[in-house]
Amino acid sequence: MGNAKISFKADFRLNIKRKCESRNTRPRVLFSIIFIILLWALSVEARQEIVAVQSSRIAPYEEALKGFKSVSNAVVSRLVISESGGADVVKELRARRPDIILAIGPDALSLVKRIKDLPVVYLMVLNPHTILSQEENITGVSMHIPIERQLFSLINVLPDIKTIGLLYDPDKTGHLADKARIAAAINGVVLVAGQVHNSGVVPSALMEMKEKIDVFWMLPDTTLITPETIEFMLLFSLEHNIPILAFSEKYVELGALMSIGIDAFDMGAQAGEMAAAILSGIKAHKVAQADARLAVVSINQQIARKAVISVNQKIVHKLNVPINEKIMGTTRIVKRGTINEFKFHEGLQ
Amino acid sequence: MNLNFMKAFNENFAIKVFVKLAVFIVTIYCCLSIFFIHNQRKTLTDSLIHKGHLLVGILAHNSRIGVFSENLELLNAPADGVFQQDAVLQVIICNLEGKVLKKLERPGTYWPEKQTTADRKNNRHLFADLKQAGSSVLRENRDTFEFWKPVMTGLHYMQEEALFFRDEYLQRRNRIIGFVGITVDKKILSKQLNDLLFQSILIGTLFLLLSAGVAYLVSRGITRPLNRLTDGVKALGKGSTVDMLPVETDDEIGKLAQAFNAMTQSLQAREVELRKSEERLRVLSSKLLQAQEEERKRLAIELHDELGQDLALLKLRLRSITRKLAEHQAALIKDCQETSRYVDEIIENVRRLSRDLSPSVLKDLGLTAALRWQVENFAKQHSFKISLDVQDIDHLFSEDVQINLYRIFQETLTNIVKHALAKNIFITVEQQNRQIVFVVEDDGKGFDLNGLISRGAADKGMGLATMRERSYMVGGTCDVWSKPDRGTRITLTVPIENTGGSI
Repeated sequence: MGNAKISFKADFRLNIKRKCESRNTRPRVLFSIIFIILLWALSVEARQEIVAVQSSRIAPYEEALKGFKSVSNAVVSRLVISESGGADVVKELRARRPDIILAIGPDALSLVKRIKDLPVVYLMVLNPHTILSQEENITGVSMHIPIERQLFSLINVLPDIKTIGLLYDPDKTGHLADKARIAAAINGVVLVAGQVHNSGVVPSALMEMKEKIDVFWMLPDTTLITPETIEFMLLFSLEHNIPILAFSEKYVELGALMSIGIDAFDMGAQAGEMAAAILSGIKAHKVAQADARLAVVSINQQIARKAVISVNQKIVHKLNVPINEKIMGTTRIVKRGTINEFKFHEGLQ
Repeated sequence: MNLNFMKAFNENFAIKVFVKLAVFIVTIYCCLSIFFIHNQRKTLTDSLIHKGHLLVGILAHNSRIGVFSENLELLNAPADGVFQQDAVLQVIICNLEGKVLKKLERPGTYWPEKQTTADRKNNRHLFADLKQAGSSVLRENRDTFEFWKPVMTGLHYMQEEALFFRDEYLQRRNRIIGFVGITVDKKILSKQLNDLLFQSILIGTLFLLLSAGVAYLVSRGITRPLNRLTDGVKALGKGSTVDMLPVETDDEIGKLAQAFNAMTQSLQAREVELRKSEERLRVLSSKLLQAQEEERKRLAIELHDELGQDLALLKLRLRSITRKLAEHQAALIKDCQETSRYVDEIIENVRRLSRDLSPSVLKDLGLTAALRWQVENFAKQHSFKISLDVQDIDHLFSEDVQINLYRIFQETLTNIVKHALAKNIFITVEQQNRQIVFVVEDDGKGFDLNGLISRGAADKGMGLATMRERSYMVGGTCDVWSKPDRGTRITLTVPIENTGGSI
């Protein structure tokens, strides 16, 4: 979009110069020329095409795409892998040669990373470094929210916490645990971290730390998180009054105290801005890969009210988007808001 | 007892209606009970099976975490929760390989199906089936139901990104992580059925008692008017006075009562007419007998006074003629003497005829002696052996009654001579209470009394009818007993006080 605007300005100056030289041209002709040039400029911009590749049409991807389209004036067409009927998506992309390929989700990114000659912007990918290997045509927004920010938010919501429990699979989220240790040390909180190598030991590992922790920090680790372990963690939280910090609002609705998660729409918008920069002529490798700029804090008010440990009610009140959801016949009220709405957001950066 | 009941059953319409209604109600009740029990057995069995599926489903759901982590502590609560159900005898939780993680058995339970190698082999087949079916499986044993269900886990997150999204956005891929089984006791069904049967019998008994009461009232309602009709008919048959029956309904029974009342009225009217007619006949016959007696008396007087005097005069004249005849007219003298003897015989016959026509002996000797005289005279005339036992009954009856009694006695003896061909006659006259009972019995050929009754009046003859009429006139009764070849007995009973009746 930025590129299109610059082109428009250049042509406009040329025409003005010509008009000035003629000195006899009537204003009516001048306006006609301007109109034609404007149409041309718009048509040039419209020809810029972005193909969004996504594995399936799930709601978060759709939301992210909406956010992307909200800041992009390019023509965005969509290619859903699950609906391609086995067609070679990469081959099709190469044939179409769009200006940018938008990869939504890890599957799409894994697929399109083979294309080296077209710029690729990804989003809705948690750990892009596990998929990518220094490709210069690829940039994007990860779902990762810096662990320090998460910890800071947690400490602000629960100012009295002294110890935080955390389980992790060293092969998957070991790096996050390391960062969490450092962040905890900086913030004067004790981190009780336990390693697990399979889901089956999660209950026993969690039970072992029940006397030692004030809050449990749930990391996005597929070894840790299974339907059974989630259920156990929530029951554990309920039985032992140990609040859970989760990474997605869906766990807050199930009974976790709070979550610090992404905003798919904003992430789409963030990716859209990256795409605009690339369309304006900036090389993709010049556009730095980034983490999600916006974190959404969700707090389960009912759990907050029942929590033994004190909850900072000022923050709870500041969350301005109530979500009422009926689960098992009871209404659980979850309030959410972006981290930027907090007074302390500067400290999170 | 049985005969009495059968007799009552056959003869009593109320009992018949009651018994039939009771049998009908019992039959209906038994059919309904059988249907109800059968239905309840099926319902209870279905309910137990449904409960078993539900419990094993709950157990499978609640034990997911425990099975997943193979953590026995986490299996305690789900297993105990299901095991607390009364009917549950055994709870088993296994992992995917079939290893038993948790097993609870009700103490004291006899397990005929102990785990054997074959059973374990069967279980392996069962687990294979469960894996394939993915839903609960029921195995029915002799005393128990076994419910088995695979323990399913939901999503298995393949990517970390999926952890952020709601599960409904992701493709669901269930997988089996273990198996749970419960054994439910069938005896609880029997207990519930027994309770149900007891309640059913209790209700049925009350229902039967109520129905029996209703049946009794209904049968009584039907038979009461019929009984009244029956009593009325019986009373009519006996000739008693019958009151009008109440007509309570407009149905067939009511119409029958109306018809009966109309018939009763008609019969009573006829009865009155008949009695009047009888009365008239009786008066007439009484007058006839009276006239007969008067005529006999007149004839007796005529015979005695006129014919007797004339014959006496004839005898005197014959004696006078005889005296006047000469000695050489010996033949005439002899004829006259024989004629004179013949006249004497005629005079004697006339006297006897006069006495028979008008028994002056009654006046002269009294009833007792007159009867004796009659019997002795009768015995002289005929070759009978007569046994006579007569009490003194003089002064007990008026003259008219005495004449009637004498005549009845006379007719009885005449009938024996005419018809009986008897050899012995037994006569007794005695007082019983306030009655005098005359019994005349012979050992003659007898006769068929029913045949005599069924004969027409013209064929009957007048003897018995006259005897009965005279008995009625003296206020008594005349009973006749006879059988062919067994003789005849005539019993005349006359009240002493009621000596009324006029000839």
